[in-house]
Amino acid sequence: MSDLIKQYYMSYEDHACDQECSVSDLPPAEEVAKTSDVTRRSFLKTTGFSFAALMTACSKTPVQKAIPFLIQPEEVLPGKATWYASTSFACEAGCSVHVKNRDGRPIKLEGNPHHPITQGGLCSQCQASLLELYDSTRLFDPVLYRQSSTWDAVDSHVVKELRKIKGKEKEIVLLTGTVSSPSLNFAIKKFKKKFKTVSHVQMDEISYGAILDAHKQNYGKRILPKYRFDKADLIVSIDADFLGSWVSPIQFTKDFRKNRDLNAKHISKLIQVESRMSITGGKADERIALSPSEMVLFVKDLDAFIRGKKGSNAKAKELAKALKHHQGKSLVVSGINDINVQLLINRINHTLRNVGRTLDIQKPSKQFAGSDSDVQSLFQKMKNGSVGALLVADVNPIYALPNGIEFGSAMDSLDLTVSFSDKNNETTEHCKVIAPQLHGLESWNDSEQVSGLLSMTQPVIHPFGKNRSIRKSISSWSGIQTDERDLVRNYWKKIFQSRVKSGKTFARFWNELVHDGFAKISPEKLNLTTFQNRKPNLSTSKIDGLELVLFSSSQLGNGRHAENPWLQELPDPITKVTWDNTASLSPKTAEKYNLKKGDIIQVKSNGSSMDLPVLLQPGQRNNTIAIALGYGRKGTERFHEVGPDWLEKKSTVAKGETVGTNASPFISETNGFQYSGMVATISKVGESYDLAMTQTYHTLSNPENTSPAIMPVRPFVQETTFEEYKKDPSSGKHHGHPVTTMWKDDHPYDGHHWGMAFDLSACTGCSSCIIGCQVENNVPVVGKDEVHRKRDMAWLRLDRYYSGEGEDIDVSFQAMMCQHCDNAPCEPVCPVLATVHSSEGLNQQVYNRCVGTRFCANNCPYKVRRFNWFEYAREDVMENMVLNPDVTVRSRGVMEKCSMCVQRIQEAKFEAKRLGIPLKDGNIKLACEQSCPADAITFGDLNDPESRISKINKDERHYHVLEDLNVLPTVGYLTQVKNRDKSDQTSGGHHG
Amino acid sequence: MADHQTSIREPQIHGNKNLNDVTNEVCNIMDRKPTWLWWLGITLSLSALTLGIVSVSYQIATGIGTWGLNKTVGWAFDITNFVFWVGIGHAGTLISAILFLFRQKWRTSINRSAEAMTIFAVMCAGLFPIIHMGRPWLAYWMFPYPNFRGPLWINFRSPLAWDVFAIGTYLIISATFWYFGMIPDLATVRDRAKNKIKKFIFGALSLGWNGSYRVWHRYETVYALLAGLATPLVVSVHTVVSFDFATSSIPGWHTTTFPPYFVAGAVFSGFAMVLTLMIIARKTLKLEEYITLNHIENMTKVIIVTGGIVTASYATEFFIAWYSGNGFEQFVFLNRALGPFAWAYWIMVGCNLITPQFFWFRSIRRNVIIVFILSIFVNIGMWFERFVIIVTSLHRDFLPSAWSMYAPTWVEIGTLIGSFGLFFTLFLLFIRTMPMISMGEVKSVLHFRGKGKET
Repeated sequence: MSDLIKQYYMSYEDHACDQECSVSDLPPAEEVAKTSDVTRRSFLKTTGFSFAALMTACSKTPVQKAIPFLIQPEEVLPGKATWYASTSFACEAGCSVHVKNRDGRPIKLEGNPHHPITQGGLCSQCQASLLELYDSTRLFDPVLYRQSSTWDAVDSHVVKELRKIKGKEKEIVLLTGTVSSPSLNFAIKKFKKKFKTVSHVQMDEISYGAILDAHKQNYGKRILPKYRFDKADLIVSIDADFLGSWVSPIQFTKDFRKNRDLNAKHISKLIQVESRMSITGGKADERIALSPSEMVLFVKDLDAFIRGKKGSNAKAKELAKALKHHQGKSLVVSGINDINVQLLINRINHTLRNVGRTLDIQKPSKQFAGSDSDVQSLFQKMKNGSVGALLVADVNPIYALPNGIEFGSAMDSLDLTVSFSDKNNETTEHCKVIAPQLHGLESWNDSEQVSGLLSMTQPVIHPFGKNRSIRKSISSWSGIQTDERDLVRNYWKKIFQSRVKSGKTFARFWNELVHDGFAKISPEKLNLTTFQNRKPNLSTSKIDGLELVLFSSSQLGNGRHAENPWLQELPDPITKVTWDNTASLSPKTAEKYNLKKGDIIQVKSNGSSMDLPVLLQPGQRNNTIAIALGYGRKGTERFHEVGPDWLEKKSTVAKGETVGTNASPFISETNGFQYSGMVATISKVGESYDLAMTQTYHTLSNPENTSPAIMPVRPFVQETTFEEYKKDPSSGKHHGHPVTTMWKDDHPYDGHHWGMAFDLSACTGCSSCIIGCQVENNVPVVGKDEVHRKRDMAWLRLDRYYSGEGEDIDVSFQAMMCQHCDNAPCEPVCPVLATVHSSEGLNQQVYNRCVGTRFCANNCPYKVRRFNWFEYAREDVMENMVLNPDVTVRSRGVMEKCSMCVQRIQEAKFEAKRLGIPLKDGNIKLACEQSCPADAITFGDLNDPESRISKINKDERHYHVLEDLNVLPTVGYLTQVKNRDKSDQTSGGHHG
Repeated sequence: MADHQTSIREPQIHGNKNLNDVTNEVCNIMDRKPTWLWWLGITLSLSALTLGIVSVSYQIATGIGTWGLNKTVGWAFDITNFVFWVGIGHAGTLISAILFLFRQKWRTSINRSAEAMTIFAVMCAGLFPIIHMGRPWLAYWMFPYPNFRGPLWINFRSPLAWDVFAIGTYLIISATFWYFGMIPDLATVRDRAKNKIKKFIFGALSLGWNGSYRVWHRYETVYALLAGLATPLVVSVHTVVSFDFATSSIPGWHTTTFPPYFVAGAVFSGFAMVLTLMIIARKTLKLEEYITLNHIENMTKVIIVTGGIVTASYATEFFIAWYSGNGFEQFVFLNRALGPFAWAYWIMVGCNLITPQFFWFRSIRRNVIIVFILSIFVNIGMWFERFVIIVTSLHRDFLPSAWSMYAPTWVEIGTLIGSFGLFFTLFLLFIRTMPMISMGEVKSVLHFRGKGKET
């Protein structure tokens, strides 16, 4: 070596040493430097420092303080993460989470795998909600008449006003989202006691009221059953996107997955009836596309057939037969918020004897309790003048209600209006007082999202502002001055005897509760009646024109997280559109109206009209328009600035405009809030609009005119049916040419050999892995224009492919990230060795060596490398606090890509080394793997024959994408298995 | 004395010139005041260059994002321009080295300019690999030099590293060859110079040339050696450039026929560019007697041959795609011809396949205006050839989910225009400051029947 590479020595002594002793005997670098007092380096250091000091003295640079801890906090160890159990607050589902803290800052949320309901895994919204903690536009002080104020002033004002209203015998209404917190309910009770005229109205921005009301009629109590998708063999979902956005998607995905184990004798079968294309529809074994009005008739027929009566729909008859065959082992759910439909659904489940088996009404879910009629009557009362005060928490009625603007003007006439929102939104604009609440990561909270299970939320960071929880605010107004924690703790101490049946002391119970994040408690006794048959009053008129379908998307939900750039840039799992909601039409309907993608149309319905860009959605029912709710939220104007600034930049939103359009005015108010079935008309505006999509070619079939005869379909998604799979586990696999290698010894991998597998059968497409990866690996947000230019930065993309014709469309999802090829094509082409192979099989990107020739990206057959086209500054500087300190923030001009969370691998290896124990399979969980509620991603050591990944690699279903190229990827895929008859298989199958 | 002119061949240089005429006429281009045409040319070139400088400065200050590239199409205008300019350079070396070794005397009146063109084209080409980098300020990392980073060497397996050597070698050898060939003429300029500064500069540049037999002898020897050294470069440089694509895994790039295909294409485009330049030069500088119709005709013949090779390559690609039985490969070529970038493909085919066919006709070969127009078509066609190879192969490769389109931004267009600006600025400065026709060599092909002896 010494002949080839010159060695440079500090001094003669070192030289002499090098002649005699081995490298390891060399003195450490510091000592080497000491050999002469003034070395070249120290001279440069001194002069450089003096120069810098001079320069600093001359200019007024802002003082950046980095003060070390005088006394090291007990739990904070620099460089080491602390984990806390908590409960999510991102949506009503209330998933149990583990919060990763570094240096006192929460930097990642992960699902709590021990929690019996949510069982690990976490949705995209919940993971992304972390970013909202570091939102600098949050309110950090109470607001009184639009002026920043103090709690003393606000408290005295509110109490004075409340007393006055109480004196006038006017109603004080507390309008909240569903309150599943027992301690908050208790605080509300106290508040009621204090001010007498208080009434509590619960409202869900996406309402499930019909299900609750139907149960009230059938069983005497407003309950939301706990659905057991794991117990059902045949699931019929009528417009319920339970894997994506309906009630509690993570819980349901986990449950659904349990009964889809391909090694079992049977797997469940999912039949989805819907108008639009949801991810549940994409996952379904069979999908029936119906318009909302047809769907109501379908449910009616289904009910009739099941009860042995007559109907007209042949498909419903077939389905009824299958359901009857699976009596007690089937489950029919519906997302239609119409009590008459829900009464039918209840009757169907009752007739099929599913109640108590696949749906639990004795220990129901408490995730949603909102009542449509309560909200509607509240509005009436406000207009009548019988309401004196409105206290709004967790909901944004002006945004979410169809007549929100009128609701707002009704609010203006009230004596007292209080909002608990920590953000300025549509509703706070009409509030005289804003008592900002804490972010979920700053507060104590409890929740009983399913009867009999208590989940705990604990603060993981000191509050940024002076905010208080709602519990604290209303307790203060009720005259109770207790601190945040004790408001929760004292409540549980009080009812400990009655609700917690265990031999533990309260202190122990509490400590374990906070530590674990949840505890089993005895469920409240419900006095349900037996099934009372009620005759539904169905309107069964057939609609001829276009029917509207409003839905909540899995990434933005009801719009609560609309100001979250991560979620806005997360492509919709099905449409792959970012930063917008669209009016999606079936290609046939679009053709009928002579529309193409991006044309702006004016949609008119329910007395409102709005302009939306058209999206063509294969598989959607003809003559329906689907529009996502949750967009057009106030506050999203801030995204005008998002993304890199350069001459040809197009802003994500025009100045002062919101991201997308609020479709709430379309919600119909007949029989509660109706989200679908409204008659709509459309007209062309004549403009067109650029939709930013991360995927613009949607099938694995080649374009018609350029399709080679020998490969009409690209064999990347390989699929089979369960029946075929049982006969031959390798069925459906594409048999390419066998590949051999001449350089077997190139990559010995003596230690670990990391590998990963992705199960196409398991993946629902929920996209939470994408957010998991983004949070873990500091992936920047680039803005709509950059996405439109195909420069999205997500390391992991979820490819979505359609197959089939017309409305009979199959959807396949395939996670595509760096495949960490053993013969990686990117490695030899880099001129500066910035991408190299590790001894453990990882393809590593060396950011500070990369000069940015992009040859590696060009030569990547999977196109998974991402280039930093610009310096991607965070839109909000405070958001930098969310950065993972273990992962480099990449500067412009360098390539990046999936690192297989190398920081997690290293951390686990060091920990194992420290403890002196071998690394166990499952010790390392990648961010995407951890996030996945469907357990579709498996990571492990291929050199360990007992690891899960080794077993999966031997599975007959296992294949590699682009195997023929002989790049030897270490990421493998498992064939997609659908539980359907072979005859059902759509024509455009993926058999290559 | 016209009856003495019964030569077997047509003379290389027309106009009954004697040695003195050659010196006077060639040096006069430099000595006289520039014409308005030159001023117009330099104004346009400098404007284009300024646009290029603005574009590149903006791009380096802001990021590669100012180009229309995306996660799927990582190269487009940048590498297209690079390959285009490298290709342009090839004609110069071919004319000066290979034709020299083959004793093609007609080369004498165009070789100097063609070589100058080579050097300027390679300079333009060399610019793109640097500015196309995400972090061009680290471009020196591409060179293997002793360093304190480990030491960390470059990746000798990367075709981009080979490019560094290929282009570097090419630039050095071409510049040496060009300069060396110019020494006798530089001495002539020195001897004629009246201005002290000019005398000093040219004196230094001509390295003490005294025109002795010994000097001439050694000069001829070295020139022949350098020609021998430059000859393999004609083949090697574009072969190495083609490896950037040929060694990759992308269908449409991964092609073993690329080296000969690229070399032929380079000569094809290079000769077209020489024609474009020479036709302008002979017209504006009144050099019709030096650069005769024969020269033009000879060059069009080279275009027919190389155009034929290029056409054969296009056909081979399609044949092999079909013959390989590889669906991805077949798709890429169908997509080239029928996909969203079909327009670029058919521009390429139109310009490179059809244009040379006109040169089968002698009347067209000797029609300067038509040749000029056709030479520009070849240049356009060859630029599009590289665009088609790079962009259409990348934009739809294996996974349809990653398919995308590409459109240039004004920054990229400005950079392309700027590279032409740089090229023409350098060329225009060259013809004003250096003898653009190799006087020494031209004199050697004159008919020795000089006017001087007669009178």
